[in-house]
Amino acid sequence: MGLRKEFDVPQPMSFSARLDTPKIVTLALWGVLGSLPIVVLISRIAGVPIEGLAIIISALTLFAGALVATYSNRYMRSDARSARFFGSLGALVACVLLFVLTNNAILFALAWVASGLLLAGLIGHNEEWIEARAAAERSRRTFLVGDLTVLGALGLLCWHAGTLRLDVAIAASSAMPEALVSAIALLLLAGAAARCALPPFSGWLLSSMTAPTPISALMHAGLVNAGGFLLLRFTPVLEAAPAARYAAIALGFIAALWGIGIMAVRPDIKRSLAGSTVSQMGFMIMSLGLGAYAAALWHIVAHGLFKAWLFLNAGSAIGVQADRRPALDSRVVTVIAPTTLAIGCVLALSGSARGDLVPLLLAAATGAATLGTILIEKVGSASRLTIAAILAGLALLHVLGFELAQAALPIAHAAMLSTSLAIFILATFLGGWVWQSRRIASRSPLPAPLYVRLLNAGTLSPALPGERP
Amino acid sequence: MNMHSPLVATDPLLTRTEVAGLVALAARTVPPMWPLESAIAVNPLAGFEDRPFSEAVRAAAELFGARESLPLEVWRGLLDRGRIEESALRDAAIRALGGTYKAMANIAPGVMAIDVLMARLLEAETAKPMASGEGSDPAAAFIAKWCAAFFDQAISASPMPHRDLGLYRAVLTLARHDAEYAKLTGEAGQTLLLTVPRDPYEAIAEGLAECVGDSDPLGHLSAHVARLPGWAGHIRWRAEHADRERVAHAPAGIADLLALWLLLERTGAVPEREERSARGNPVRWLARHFGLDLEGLDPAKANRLADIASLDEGSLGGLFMQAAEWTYANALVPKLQHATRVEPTAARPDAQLVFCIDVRSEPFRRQIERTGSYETFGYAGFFGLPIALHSERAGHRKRLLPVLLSPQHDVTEGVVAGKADEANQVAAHDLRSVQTASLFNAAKLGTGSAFATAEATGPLAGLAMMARTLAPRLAERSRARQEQRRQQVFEPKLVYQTDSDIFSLAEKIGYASALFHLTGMKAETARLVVLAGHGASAVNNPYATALDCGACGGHAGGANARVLVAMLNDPEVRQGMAAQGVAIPHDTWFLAAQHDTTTDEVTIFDRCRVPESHLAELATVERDLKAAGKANRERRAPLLNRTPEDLLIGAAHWGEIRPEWGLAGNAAFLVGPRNWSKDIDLEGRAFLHSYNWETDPSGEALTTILTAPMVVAQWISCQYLFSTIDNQRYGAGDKVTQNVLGGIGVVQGNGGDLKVGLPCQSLFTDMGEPFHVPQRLLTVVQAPLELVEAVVTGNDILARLFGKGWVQLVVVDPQTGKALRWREDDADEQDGYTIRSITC
Repeated sequence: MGLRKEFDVPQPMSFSARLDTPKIVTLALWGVLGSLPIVVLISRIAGVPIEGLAIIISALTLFAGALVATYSNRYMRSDARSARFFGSLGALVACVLLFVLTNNAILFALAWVASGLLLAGLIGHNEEWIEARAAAERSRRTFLVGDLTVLGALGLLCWHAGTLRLDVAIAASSAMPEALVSAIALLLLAGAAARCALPPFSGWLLSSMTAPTPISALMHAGLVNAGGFLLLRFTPVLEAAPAARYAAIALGFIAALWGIGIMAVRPDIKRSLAGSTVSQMGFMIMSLGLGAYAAALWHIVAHGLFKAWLFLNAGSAIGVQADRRPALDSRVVTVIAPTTLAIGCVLALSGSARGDLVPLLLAAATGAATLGTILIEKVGSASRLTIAAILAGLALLHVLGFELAQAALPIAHAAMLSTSLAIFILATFLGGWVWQSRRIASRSPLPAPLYVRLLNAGTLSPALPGERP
Repeated sequence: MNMHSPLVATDPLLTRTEVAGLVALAARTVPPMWPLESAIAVNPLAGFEDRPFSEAVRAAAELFGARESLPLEVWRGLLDRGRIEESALRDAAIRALGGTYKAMANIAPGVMAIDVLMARLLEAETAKPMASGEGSDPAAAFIAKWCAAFFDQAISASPMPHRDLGLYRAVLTLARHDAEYAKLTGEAGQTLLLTVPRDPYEAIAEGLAECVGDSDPLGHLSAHVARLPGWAGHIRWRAEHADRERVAHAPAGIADLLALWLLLERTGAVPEREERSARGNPVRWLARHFGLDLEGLDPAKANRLADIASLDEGSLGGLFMQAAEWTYANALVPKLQHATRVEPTAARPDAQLVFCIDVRSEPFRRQIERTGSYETFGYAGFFGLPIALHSERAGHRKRLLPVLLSPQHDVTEGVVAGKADEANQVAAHDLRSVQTASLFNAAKLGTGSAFATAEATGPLAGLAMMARTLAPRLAERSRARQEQRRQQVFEPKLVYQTDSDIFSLAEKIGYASALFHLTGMKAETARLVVLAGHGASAVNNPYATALDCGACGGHAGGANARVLVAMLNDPEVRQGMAAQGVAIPHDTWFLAAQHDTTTDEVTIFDRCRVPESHLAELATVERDLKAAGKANRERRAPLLNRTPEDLLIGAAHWGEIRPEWGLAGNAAFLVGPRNWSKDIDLEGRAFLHSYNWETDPSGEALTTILTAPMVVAQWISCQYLFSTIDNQRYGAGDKVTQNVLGGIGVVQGNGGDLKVGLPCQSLFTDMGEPFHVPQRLLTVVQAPLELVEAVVTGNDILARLFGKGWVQLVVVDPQTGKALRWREDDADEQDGYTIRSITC
């Protein structure tokens, strides 16, 4: 229940209200986004070029932030604390920009921690609402754990490298003792998992629907993937620590499947989207572990846009038609999946496989399956052509995006960590897909124990101690 | 006979039939709640309508844990801003004190009773707004969670297992896997799962026997129904109003819900309902305020003071509401009284336009009347047609009629003659969109395809977001065009493909003549008669249908207009009507249209059928409609604190949280000819139903108007009233944190009860003040008193609504020129609240 006080007697105009915070923040975000290319250019000329990764993440965050702010000018028009809302929104984006662009460990840490606190504050934007306060508190606690590990990792790294310059410290990591690097990498992974809402940290994201819709959009577009950015920023550390890479793969793999399960059982649009985010973040972290850096970066960008759009559009879900539960044709999937797996095996055995084998093959399989479904379905040839053309366009965008990510990263992909592991993962995703599409086609429900667990995942415990009114 | 059989106490268990009876009665605690995809305004207190209004409000507040009225602070704000007159508040206070004499009696030297009460109303410190504590009840959260999973229409790809067993049994089956259930109920819960009857009615009988004995089983069950009014209302909708095929996959009744509540109660998991916090005692404040010596007061006066001090905020708020009603009535009724004698114009107008009675029609009608020689009428927006429409695209059938009625005719959408090719194109386009969306939905779900789908559609989503945020009208254009084309090539058909009629000739004549009988429209019609339904254009808005036509069951009313127009233009029908005395001139052409209440644009349907002889007139009408739309946008824009241009942008913008004010502000229901109200600016607050008492000697038309359209208006009025009073309990709360359950409605945040009523954005301004001033509907009828009296006393519903104070009735008698107010049943005749001249 929202316990908004709509009945506050209008306060005398505060200074911030007179400033028209919404307009200022919105314009500032668009302004900074617009000047980003100039800043990049100047940095090149000045001889301190901004890295591709930083440019891409900055652009994504600014773009999502500016859109969300513009949207919120209408959406949050009757919000009682709109100055604070827009202020936090602007500060949040600024924090992300700061930790993305800075090379100073202390600034990085400060901005990183501040972004988490601001986000938690926005989840609890409606202060009078018990549930919102509880959700904010839960995020705060999760971030506290995650942030402590990140601070620990930064501390260890800088202490041993003897510098606060991140680039120098990261470069020095290859010379550090293996146990130390592993520890640092594992700490970083834990921090990333907390932000990315991977199990066991998914609860905060799955119960964050107390946030106003635009905040959810920004959260899923620009904030949850901070974990992915963190690992990409510290790629050399990760590469020096195979144990952390294995852990990332395992954690991401579990999250990817678990999140899809959550998405499949949720009856409400927003929590269903949150389940999907857990899954997508899992896949991204897993790809990072496998060494598919460019694929992971592109995933961060594309998924961010994809999910922001779905959240901002969540009001439209009311018209969803009953009993049009969609499925890719299960026969097509049944053919495509083993074929893809076979190709994967051949590539792996031939030794030409790279770290991004899994994401790339799954992308190809997805394209083939959608195309196959169109060909089988009873539609006119004109429609078929149109849909196929759309598919081709999407595939092209995907390839372009992937190329962009490759160009942006100094190392686009690492060597394959373990061929058999990659094949195992591929087989699981493809096998699960076949099982899923057959189950949906035959309309058979999930086993009851699994269903209930998925439905309950991340539920905010309804009564907090001492919260009973 | 065995003399040794032990004495058996009467079986404490109620029989199944008894339980069923109790359940049916308890179910009436909440009204049915329609899904938001065809939102219907209902009175959240419909179950209390057999009681007098103030008593009902009090009882419901108790049961639902709601406020009885707006907080005093808010009322005072409305008074300060002139929305309520202080003199009206004073009158209400005097009446509450028992009349002028008692009100003027001194409590202390120089301090009258009325002074004390006014001080309480206007100055005394107020209790903190009561916080309702839902969401912190884990038992309610448990049941709400399973309701959402069970009733899910479309969002989840893996629906809840065992839904065919019914809600109660399905939850029983799954509860043993549910860790939350275990936490909530402990061991007792696990044992009960094994032993509790599988039949919900038997389970209720057992539960009642264990939890309440036979003290007040009905009260107990009603209290449980009231714990989750949204889900209970949804269940009632499913059971009583939904098309069977839509809900058959998940059968549930109120008994399932109650059986679940009793299951939890037996395990001790249901918290006691909390008593509302004690109120502060304002006696001391009053004494200080007036400088009274409490000890020195004589006992009678001290008691009087204590009486006034003991009035709670609900009662004080009630006085404010009365003041708001009187402020409004005192301004409106005298104008109507003076306007009674306006002579109707004799000349044939250039065109006549029939609009829905909706309050949003009135200002638009005023604008169009100004632009030329036009006569307008108000008629229920479903145009009297009890139809349901099947269309290929919508999936299930739409019930285009007030929910009081059930569909008598199933109309199917068909291709307009000669447009087969275009229709195929449109249909192919629609199919393609559906398939693309379906492919996308499928792909984003598969373990093999979810990730690549996000990656591939991401850039497209980025472009779409840009367009919809920065150039919303451009982004909406293609969809709007497709919709326009669809309306041009498809129409509701009066004939099945097999050539069998959906309507018999007699029925067509009946529906066509009803327009004339009910509205008092004369048979000598203008050359063009436009029947305009209405709809709203809101994007990405779960409450979009709440802005559509309520008389059409929460849909746009264009289809109904088209069907009635097809009948009225049918020569056979006209012949039949003429035989019954409604001879429409041969040169009259009827035309269907739809008024978009968000943009104030009017779409004309079936333009291609208009005879050439009428084209010039049509062009003029269209030009004037455009001008009227522009003028009306200019009138509405300041109310929304926006520019007229921005209303058009907002109608297409996916972030616009309040595309229009909807029916906020609704206050009156006027039954009478248009000439009567034509020169009064009703500010978009009045439902207008055209009526002419001279053509209705039997009162038949008046009965229909008061029992059907007025009842719908009363539901709307009550929905707005209660949603404003307590937006958390009777309304839907803040829109920005709502979470949609596809095809059903919304919840707040992570879950909980299905929200009823309207969100705060529909009722409160950006500054948080009520835009909608809570007040009861004022019905004003222009007809002789005897006629109205006969109609009202002869009808139970009306006698109840007016007698119990749910609707205020004023009769403006055209013969005497007097305005008379209907007396409530319990009103004391001495206090002057009787049938009397309102302007005295």
